[in-house]
Amino acid sequence: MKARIKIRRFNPETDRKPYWAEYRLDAEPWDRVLDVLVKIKDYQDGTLTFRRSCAHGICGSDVMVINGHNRLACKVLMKDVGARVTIEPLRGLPVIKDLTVDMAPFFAHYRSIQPFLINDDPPPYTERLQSPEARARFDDTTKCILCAACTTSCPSFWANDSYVGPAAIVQAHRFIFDDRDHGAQVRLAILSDADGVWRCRTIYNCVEACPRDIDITRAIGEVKKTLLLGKTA
Amino acid sequence: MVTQANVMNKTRSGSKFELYMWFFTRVSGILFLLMGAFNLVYANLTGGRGHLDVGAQMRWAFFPISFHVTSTTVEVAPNFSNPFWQVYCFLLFAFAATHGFNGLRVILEDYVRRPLLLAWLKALLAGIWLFVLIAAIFLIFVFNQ
Repeated sequence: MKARIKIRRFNPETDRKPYWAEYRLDAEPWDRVLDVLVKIKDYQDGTLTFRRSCAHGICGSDVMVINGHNRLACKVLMKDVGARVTIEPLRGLPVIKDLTVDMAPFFAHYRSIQPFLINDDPPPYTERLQSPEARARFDDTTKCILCAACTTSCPSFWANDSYVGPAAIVQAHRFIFDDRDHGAQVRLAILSDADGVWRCRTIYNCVEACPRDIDITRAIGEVKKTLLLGKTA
Repeated sequence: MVTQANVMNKTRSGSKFELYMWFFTRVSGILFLLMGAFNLVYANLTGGRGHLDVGAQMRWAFFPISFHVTSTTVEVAPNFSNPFWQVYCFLLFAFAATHGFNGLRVILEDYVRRPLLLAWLKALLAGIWLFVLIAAIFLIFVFNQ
Protein backbone atom coordinates (compact mmCIF):
# COMPACT_ATOMS: atom_id res chain seq x y z
CA MET A 1 0.00 0.00 0.00
CA LYS A 2 1.04 3.60 -0.64
CA ALA A 3 1.19 5.09 2.81
CA ARG A 4 1.03 8.77 3.66
CA ILE A 5 2.32 9.40 7.17
CA LYS A 6 1.85 12.77 8.86
CA ILE A 7 4.01 13.27 11.92
CA ARG A 8 3.89 16.17 14.36
CA ARG A 9 7.53 17.12 14.77
CA PHE A 10 9.33 19.50 17.08
CA ASN A 11 13.00 20.10 17.74
CA PRO A 12 13.37 22.55 20.63
CA GLU A 13 16.85 23.56 19.40
CA THR A 14 15.73 24.74 15.97
CA ASP A 15 11.92 25.04 15.88
CA ARG A 16 9.87 27.75 17.51
CA LYS A 17 6.75 25.61 17.45
CA PRO A 18 5.70 22.09 16.40
CA TYR A 19 4.93 21.45 12.71
CA TRP A 20 3.51 18.63 10.57
CA ALA A 21 5.92 16.68 8.41
CA GLU A 22 4.59 14.36 5.72
CA TYR A 23 6.25 11.20 4.44
CA ARG A 24 5.18 8.95 1.57
CA LEU A 25 6.43 5.41 1.28
CA ASP A 26 5.44 1.87 0.34
CA ALA A 27 4.21 -0.21 3.23
CA GLU A 28 2.88 -3.74 3.51
CA PRO A 29 -0.55 -4.20 5.11
CA TRP A 30 1.04 -6.42 7.77
CA ASP A 31 3.67 -3.79 8.61
CA ARG A 32 3.29 -2.34 12.06
CA VAL A 33 3.21 1.45 12.40
CA LEU A 34 6.57 1.07 14.18
CA ASP A 35 8.05 -0.64 11.08
CA VAL A 36 6.92 2.31 8.98
CA LEU A 37 8.51 4.79 11.41
CA VAL A 38 11.77 2.81 11.32
CA LYS A 39 11.66 2.83 7.51
CA ILE A 40 11.22 6.61 7.50
CA LYS A 41 14.09 7.06 9.94
CA ASP A 42 16.38 4.66 8.03
CA TYR A 43 15.67 5.75 4.46
CA GLN A 44 14.08 9.21 4.45
CA ASP A 45 14.89 11.31 7.49
CA GLY A 46 17.39 10.23 10.11
CA THR A 47 16.48 13.13 12.38
CA LEU A 48 13.04 11.68 13.16
CA THR A 49 13.05 10.85 16.87
CA PHE A 50 10.92 8.30 18.70
CA ARG A 51 11.35 5.70 21.45
CA ARG A 52 11.19 1.97 20.86
CA SER A 53 12.80 -0.85 22.75
CA CYS A 54 11.36 -4.37 22.66
CA ALA A 55 9.02 -3.67 19.73
CA HIS A 56 6.74 -6.47 20.91
CA GLY A 57 4.16 -4.71 23.09
CA ILE A 58 5.80 -5.39 26.44
CA CYS A 59 8.21 -2.55 27.24
CA GLY A 60 5.65 0.15 26.51
CA SER A 61 8.17 2.69 25.21
CA ASP A 62 6.66 3.39 21.77
CA VAL A 63 3.23 4.63 22.81
CA MET A 64 2.13 7.60 20.70
CA VAL A 65 -1.07 9.19 19.41
CA ILE A 66 -1.91 7.29 16.22
CA ASN A 67 -4.91 8.67 14.31
CA GLY A 68 -6.07 10.33 17.51
CA HIS A 69 -5.80 7.28 19.77
CA ASN A 70 -3.06 6.43 22.25
CA ARG A 71 -1.56 3.26 20.81
CA LEU A 72 1.65 1.23 20.94
CA ALA A 73 3.18 1.66 17.47
CA CYS A 74 4.46 -1.93 17.70
CA LYS A 75 0.96 -3.36 18.19
CA VAL A 76 -0.89 -1.50 15.43
CA LEU A 77 -0.87 -2.89 11.89
CA MET A 78 -1.02 -0.64 8.82
CA LYS A 79 -4.04 -2.54 7.50
CA ASP A 80 -5.94 -1.54 10.65
CA VAL A 81 -5.15 2.18 10.50
CA GLY A 82 -5.31 2.67 6.73
CA ALA A 83 -2.93 4.29 4.31
CA ARG A 84 -3.25 7.76 5.79
CA VAL A 85 -1.81 7.87 9.28
CA THR A 86 -1.41 10.82 11.63
CA ILE A 87 1.09 10.43 14.44
CA GLU A 88 1.56 12.83 17.36
CA PRO A 89 3.49 12.71 20.64
CA LEU A 90 1.57 11.87 23.82
CA ARG A 91 -0.57 14.66 25.25
CA GLY A 92 -0.11 16.02 28.74
CA LEU A 93 3.65 15.43 28.98
CA PRO A 94 6.36 17.85 27.77
CA VAL A 95 7.79 17.02 24.33
CA ILE A 96 11.57 16.50 24.31
CA LYS A 97 11.81 16.00 20.56
CA ASP A 98 9.36 14.81 17.88
CA LEU A 99 7.52 11.78 19.34
CA THR A 100 9.65 11.55 22.47
CA VAL A 101 8.06 12.98 25.63
CA ASP A 102 9.48 13.57 29.07
CA MET A 103 8.17 10.70 31.20
CA ALA A 104 9.57 12.13 34.47
CA PRO A 105 6.22 13.53 35.76
CA PHE A 106 4.55 10.20 34.96
CA PHE A 107 7.13 8.20 36.91
CA ALA A 108 7.09 10.74 39.76
CA HIS A 109 3.40 9.93 40.26
CA TYR A 110 4.13 6.21 39.89
CA ARG A 111 6.77 6.35 42.66
CA SER A 112 4.48 8.38 44.92
CA ILE A 113 2.16 5.40 45.51
CA GLN A 114 5.08 3.23 46.73
CA PRO A 115 4.97 0.53 44.02
CA PHE A 116 6.78 -2.22 45.92
CA LEU A 117 5.87 -4.97 48.38
CA ILE A 118 5.51 -3.66 51.92
CA ASN A 119 5.64 -6.54 54.39
CA ASP A 120 7.59 -6.43 57.64
CA ASP A 121 6.95 -10.09 58.51
CA PRO A 122 10.17 -12.14 58.49
CA PRO A 123 10.45 -13.82 55.08
CA PRO A 124 9.57 -17.53 55.15
CA TYR A 125 12.13 -20.18 54.20
CA THR A 126 10.91 -20.54 50.63
CA GLU A 127 8.46 -17.90 49.44
CA ARG A 128 5.37 -15.98 50.52
CA LEU A 129 2.63 -18.32 49.40
CA GLN A 130 -0.71 -17.07 48.06
CA SER A 131 -3.88 -18.88 47.07
CA PRO A 132 -4.97 -18.77 43.41
CA GLU A 133 -8.13 -16.92 44.50
CA ALA A 134 -6.14 -14.25 46.34
CA ARG A 135 -3.88 -13.90 43.29
CA ALA A 136 -6.88 -13.56 40.98
CA ARG A 137 -8.15 -10.60 43.04
CA PHE A 138 -5.61 -8.23 41.50
CA ASP A 139 -4.70 -10.16 38.35
CA ASP A 140 -6.02 -7.52 35.95
CA THR A 141 -3.81 -4.73 37.31
CA THR A 142 -0.63 -6.85 37.21
CA LYS A 143 -0.76 -6.57 33.40
CA CYS A 144 0.27 -2.89 33.39
CA ILE A 145 3.47 -2.15 31.45
CA LEU A 146 3.72 1.54 32.50
CA CYS A 147 3.51 2.83 28.94
CA ALA A 148 1.53 5.94 30.08
CA ALA A 149 -1.13 5.47 27.39
CA CYS A 150 -3.88 5.73 30.02
CA THR A 151 -2.55 8.70 31.97
CA THR A 152 -1.85 10.72 28.82
CA SER A 153 -5.35 10.01 27.45
CA CYS A 154 -6.99 11.30 30.63
CA PRO A 155 -8.59 14.78 30.34
CA SER A 156 -8.33 15.19 34.12
CA PHE A 157 -4.56 14.73 33.80
CA TRP A 158 -4.36 17.11 30.82
CA ALA A 159 -6.18 19.74 32.84
CA ASN A 160 -4.18 19.25 36.02
CA ASP A 161 -0.91 17.33 36.04
CA SER A 162 -0.83 17.14 39.82
CA TYR A 163 -3.47 14.38 39.46
CA VAL A 164 -1.78 11.07 40.26
CA GLY A 165 -3.24 9.55 37.06
CA PRO A 166 -4.80 6.20 36.13
CA ALA A 167 -1.52 4.29 35.73
CA ALA A 168 -0.38 5.06 39.27
CA ILE A 169 -3.82 4.08 40.62
CA VAL A 170 -3.66 0.80 38.68
CA GLN A 171 -0.24 0.11 40.22
CA ALA A 172 -1.54 1.00 43.70
CA HIS A 173 -4.52 -1.33 43.14
CA ARG A 174 -2.09 -4.13 42.30
CA PHE A 175 -0.60 -3.86 45.84
CA ILE A 176 -3.67 -2.75 47.83
CA PHE A 177 -5.54 -5.95 46.90
CA ASP A 178 -2.51 -8.25 47.26
CA ASP A 179 -2.94 -10.14 50.56
CA ARG A 180 0.87 -10.48 50.93
CA ASP A 181 1.19 -6.72 51.11
CA HIS A 182 0.67 -4.74 54.32
CA GLY A 183 0.98 -1.22 52.95
CA ALA A 184 -2.60 -0.72 51.82
CA GLN A 185 -3.35 1.99 54.39
CA VAL A 186 -0.31 4.03 53.33
CA ARG A 187 -1.33 3.87 49.66
CA LEU A 188 -5.00 4.53 50.38
CA ALA A 189 -4.02 7.61 52.37
CA ILE A 190 -2.07 8.91 49.36
CA LEU A 191 -4.94 8.15 46.96
CA SER A 192 -7.59 9.76 49.18
CA ASP A 193 -5.90 13.13 48.70
CA ALA A 194 -7.55 15.76 46.48
CA ASP A 195 -5.03 14.83 43.74
CA GLY A 196 -5.69 11.12 44.22
CA VAL A 197 -8.58 8.99 42.93
CA TRP A 198 -11.17 11.76 43.34
CA ARG A 199 -9.90 13.58 40.24
CA CYS A 200 -11.09 10.59 38.19
CA ARG A 201 -14.36 11.60 36.49
CA THR A 202 -14.97 8.14 34.97
CA ILE A 203 -14.38 9.39 31.42
CA TYR A 204 -13.16 5.90 30.35
CA ASN A 205 -10.48 7.25 27.97
CA CYS A 206 -7.93 5.20 29.91
CA VAL A 207 -9.80 1.96 29.27
CA GLU A 208 -9.96 2.72 25.55
CA ALA A 209 -6.25 3.57 25.45
CA CYS A 210 -4.81 0.67 27.45
CA PRO A 211 -2.83 -1.67 25.15
CA ARG A 212 -3.12 -4.39 27.81
CA ASP A 213 -6.92 -4.22 28.00
CA ILE A 214 -6.91 -3.47 31.73
CA ASP A 215 -10.29 -2.46 33.08
CA ILE A 216 -8.79 0.69 34.58
CA THR A 217 -11.96 2.56 35.51
CA ARG A 218 -13.16 -0.53 37.38
CA ALA A 219 -9.85 -0.66 39.30
CA ILE A 220 -10.17 3.03 40.19
CA GLY A 221 -13.77 2.41 41.24
CA GLU A 222 -12.64 -0.41 43.52
CA VAL A 223 -10.11 1.89 45.18
CA LYS A 224 -12.82 4.55 45.66
CA LYS A 225 -15.16 1.96 47.16
CA THR A 226 -12.42 0.74 49.49
CA LEU A 227 -11.75 4.31 50.63
CA LEU A 228 -15.46 4.71 51.40
CA LEU A 229 -16.25 1.35 52.99
CA GLY A 230 -12.84 0.20 54.25
CA LYS A 231 -10.86 -2.75 52.94
CA THR A 232 -13.13 -5.72 52.43
CA ALA A 233 -11.05 -8.24 50.49
CA MET B 1 5.69 20.74 35.56
CA VAL B 2 5.39 18.01 38.15
CA THR B 3 8.75 16.79 39.43
CA GLN B 4 9.77 13.90 41.65
CA ALA B 5 10.52 16.28 44.52
CA ASN B 6 7.19 18.10 44.53
CA VAL B 7 5.17 14.88 44.27
CA MET B 8 7.04 13.18 47.10
CA ASN B 9 7.26 16.22 49.39
CA LYS B 10 3.66 17.28 48.88
CA THR B 11 1.92 17.76 52.21
CA ARG B 12 -1.18 15.62 52.35
CA SER B 13 -3.92 17.09 54.48
CA GLY B 14 -5.49 13.75 55.34
CA SER B 15 -8.84 15.49 54.88
CA LYS B 16 -11.78 13.29 53.97
CA PHE B 17 -13.64 16.20 52.35
CA GLU B 18 -13.19 14.90 48.79
CA LEU B 19 -14.33 11.43 49.85
CA TYR B 20 -17.47 12.79 51.49
CA MET B 21 -18.28 15.08 48.56
CA TRP B 22 -17.81 12.21 46.11
CA PHE B 23 -20.20 10.05 48.13
CA PHE B 24 -22.64 12.96 48.59
CA THR B 25 -22.70 13.55 44.82
CA ARG B 26 -23.75 9.94 44.18
CA VAL B 27 -26.37 9.84 46.93
CA SER B 28 -27.85 13.30 46.31
CA GLY B 29 -28.04 12.63 42.56
CA ILE B 30 -30.22 9.60 43.15
CA LEU B 31 -32.17 11.16 46.03
CA PHE B 32 -33.26 14.34 44.32
CA LEU B 33 -34.57 12.43 41.33
CA LEU B 34 -36.51 10.05 43.58
CA MET B 35 -37.78 12.92 45.74
CA GLY B 36 -38.81 14.87 42.63
CA ALA B 37 -40.64 11.83 41.26
CA PHE B 38 -42.43 11.38 44.58
CA ASN B 39 -43.48 15.06 44.58
CA LEU B 40 -44.84 14.66 41.09
CA VAL B 41 -46.83 11.56 41.96
CA TYR B 42 -48.21 13.20 45.10
CA ALA B 43 -49.22 16.39 43.27
CA ASN B 44 -51.07 14.34 40.67
CA LEU B 45 -52.77 12.12 43.24
CA THR B 46 -54.02 15.13 45.20
CA GLY B 47 -55.76 16.77 42.30
CA GLY B 48 -53.19 17.90 39.77
CA ARG B 49 -54.00 15.16 37.31
CA GLY B 50 -55.29 16.52 34.03
CA HIS B 51 -54.98 20.13 35.13
CA LEU B 52 -51.26 20.85 35.31
CA ASP B 53 -49.29 21.51 32.15
CA VAL B 54 -45.77 20.13 31.73
CA GLY B 55 -44.09 23.27 33.08
CA ALA B 56 -46.22 23.27 36.20
CA GLN B 57 -45.63 19.55 36.67
CA MET B 58 -41.89 20.14 36.61
CA ARG B 59 -42.14 23.05 39.04
CA TRP B 60 -44.15 20.85 41.38
CA ALA B 61 -41.63 18.07 41.03
CA PHE B 62 -38.59 20.08 41.97
CA PHE B 63 -39.78 23.16 43.80
CA PRO B 64 -43.33 22.67 45.08
CA ILE B 65 -44.25 25.91 46.77
CA SER B 66 -47.84 26.98 46.63
CA PHE B 67 -47.55 30.23 44.65
CA HIS B 68 -45.87 28.37 41.80
CA VAL B 69 -49.22 27.07 40.68
CA THR B 70 -51.59 29.86 41.68
CA SER B 71 -52.24 30.44 37.99
CA THR B 72 -53.64 26.94 37.57
CA THR B 73 -57.12 25.96 38.56
CA VAL B 74 -56.04 23.11 40.79
CA GLU B 75 -56.33 23.09 44.55
CA VAL B 76 -53.01 21.38 45.10
CA ALA B 77 -51.32 24.15 46.99
CA PRO B 78 -52.88 23.56 50.44
CA ASN B 79 -51.62 19.99 50.37
CA PHE B 80 -48.06 21.27 50.33
CA SER B 81 -48.46 24.07 52.88
CA ASN B 82 -47.48 22.10 55.93
CA PRO B 83 -44.13 21.65 57.72
CA PHE B 84 -43.51 18.15 56.35
CA TRP B 85 -43.68 19.23 52.73
CA GLN B 86 -41.78 22.44 53.49
CA VAL B 87 -38.88 20.51 55.01
CA TYR B 88 -39.09 17.92 52.23
CA CYS B 89 -39.01 20.66 49.61
CA PHE B 90 -36.09 22.41 51.27
CA LEU B 91 -34.09 19.16 51.45
CA LEU B 92 -34.78 18.48 47.78
CA PHE B 93 -33.60 21.95 46.85
CA ALA B 94 -30.55 21.77 49.14
CA PHE B 95 -29.47 18.42 47.67
CA ALA B 96 -29.81 19.69 44.12
CA ALA B 97 -28.06 23.03 44.79
CA THR B 98 -25.18 21.48 46.75
CA HIS B 99 -24.76 18.78 44.11
CA GLY B 100 -24.56 21.38 41.36
CA PHE B 101 -22.32 23.83 43.20
CA ASN B 102 -19.96 21.02 44.15
CA GLY B 103 -19.75 20.17 40.45
CA LEU B 104 -18.76 23.76 39.69
CA ARG B 105 -16.14 23.61 42.46
CA VAL B 106 -14.69 20.46 40.90
CA ILE B 107 -14.47 22.14 37.49
CA LEU B 108 -12.72 25.16 39.05
CA GLU B 109 -10.21 22.89 40.79
CA ASP B 110 -9.47 21.11 37.53
CA TYR B 111 -8.96 24.15 35.36
CA VAL B 112 -7.94 27.14 37.49
CA ARG B 113 -4.20 26.87 38.01
CA ARG B 114 -3.49 30.09 39.96
CA PRO B 115 -3.96 29.33 43.69
CA LEU B 116 -5.07 32.84 44.68
CA LEU B 117 -7.62 33.11 41.86
CA LEU B 118 -8.87 29.61 42.71
CA ALA B 119 -9.34 30.58 46.36
CA TRP B 120 -11.29 33.71 45.37
CA LEU B 121 -13.48 31.85 42.89
CA LYS B 122 -14.22 29.11 45.43
CA ALA B 123 -15.13 31.74 48.02
CA LEU B 124 -17.43 33.42 45.50
CA LEU B 125 -19.00 30.06 44.68
CA ALA B 126 -19.53 29.29 48.38
CA GLY B 127 -21.14 32.73 48.76
CA ILE B 128 -23.59 32.13 45.91
CA TRP B 129 -24.35 28.65 47.25
CA LEU B 130 -25.17 30.10 50.70
CA PHE B 131 -27.25 32.83 49.09
CA VAL B 132 -29.44 30.39 47.14
CA LEU B 133 -29.92 28.22 50.23
CA ILE B 134 -30.99 31.24 52.30
CA ALA B 135 -33.24 32.40 49.46
CA ALA B 136 -34.81 28.93 49.39
CA ILE B 137 -35.42 29.00 53.15
CA PHE B 138 -37.07 32.41 52.78
CA LEU B 139 -39.25 31.32 49.87
CA ILE B 140 -40.32 28.02 51.39
CA PHE B 141 -40.76 28.85 55.08
CA VAL B 142 -41.39 32.60 55.23
CA PHE B 143 -42.84 33.83 51.96
CA ASN B 144 -44.99 30.76 51.37
CA GLN B 145 -48.63 31.50 52.29
